[in-house]
Amino acid sequence: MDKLTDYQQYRQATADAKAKGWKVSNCFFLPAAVKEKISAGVLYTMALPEGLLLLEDGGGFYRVYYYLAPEALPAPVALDRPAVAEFPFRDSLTPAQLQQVQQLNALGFTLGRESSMMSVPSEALTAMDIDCSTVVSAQRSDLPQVQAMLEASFDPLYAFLPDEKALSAAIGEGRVLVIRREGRVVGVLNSSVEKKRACIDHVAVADSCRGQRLGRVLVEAYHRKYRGQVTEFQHWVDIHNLPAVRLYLAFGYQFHIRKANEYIRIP
Amino acid sequence: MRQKILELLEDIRPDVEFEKETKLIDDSILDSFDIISIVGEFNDAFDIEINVDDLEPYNFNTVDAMEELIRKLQDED
Repeated sequence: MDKLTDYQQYRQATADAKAKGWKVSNCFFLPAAVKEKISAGVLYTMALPEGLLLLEDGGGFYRVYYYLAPEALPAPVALDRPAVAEFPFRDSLTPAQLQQVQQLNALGFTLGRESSMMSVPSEALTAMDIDCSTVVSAQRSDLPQVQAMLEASFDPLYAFLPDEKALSAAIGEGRVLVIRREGRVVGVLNSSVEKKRACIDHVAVADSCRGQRLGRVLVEAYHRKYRGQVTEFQHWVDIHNLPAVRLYLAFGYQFHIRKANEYIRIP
Repeated sequence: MRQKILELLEDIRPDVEFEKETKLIDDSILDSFDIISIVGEFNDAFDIEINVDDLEPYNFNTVDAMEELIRKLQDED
């Protein structure tokens, strides 16, 4: 495994992969994203007999991006920590994509999670007549509790958890909503807005407060916050997380054609 | 071709006014997943192969640039 230390190394590695016909890939990094990861020292390459892996150190696990020879079934890859390979697609898997899945299986990856985008235009959103007065914007002093709740609630393999710096920025920008009880954060909703689209990044409720509809209250508060600013709300959901799916359907969300499977490898 | 490009883009991001934008990538209007979707749709719709060398902001910042990329790749085939 070789650490990438400059952008030209990345360009050379991927150009070599292309020249060898290794064009089956899940890697669509834009240059700015690659440069940022290289600067952070988190990007590595791993040569395979008929392919190349790009490994992003996620802290305790790798995110895997591959360049593989079409039709080739690679040997299982040896990695010293858990790894996840994201596989986006639209609607349903094509024969070529099914071949890629087979290649991932050969590398030692199995299906970990199936996700779908759900979305709703602002004008089609179902507003709920519920009391959201307990929902407030997180303050900087909430950062440790918010971070702890996200880390306790989500598997980092799948969740794209923000680091402290990113979470602090989100709080500073008013994108994190919380519910507090007796000074303790018991509910969190972390969001992002791009152009006219708002997305929920994470929703979490403390175990002690489950079953009290706090998730519904947080999501309604989030809708009220952004409804006048955006034309669309969207969210990625684990399609087997039925309570979450039902919640978003109740708000008027519908399944989008965009899907993503995550294939994982546990040593 | 331009109309087809716009249809595909608007299906992926109905909230973006593509004809008006000049920095779709530079201003982070399109995220990496949007790019994945766009590449997949363009490859299928126009029978081309967009690869990593083409994933530069100047190829995706405007609809004009995307159209130019598609025409270039079609001419290469």
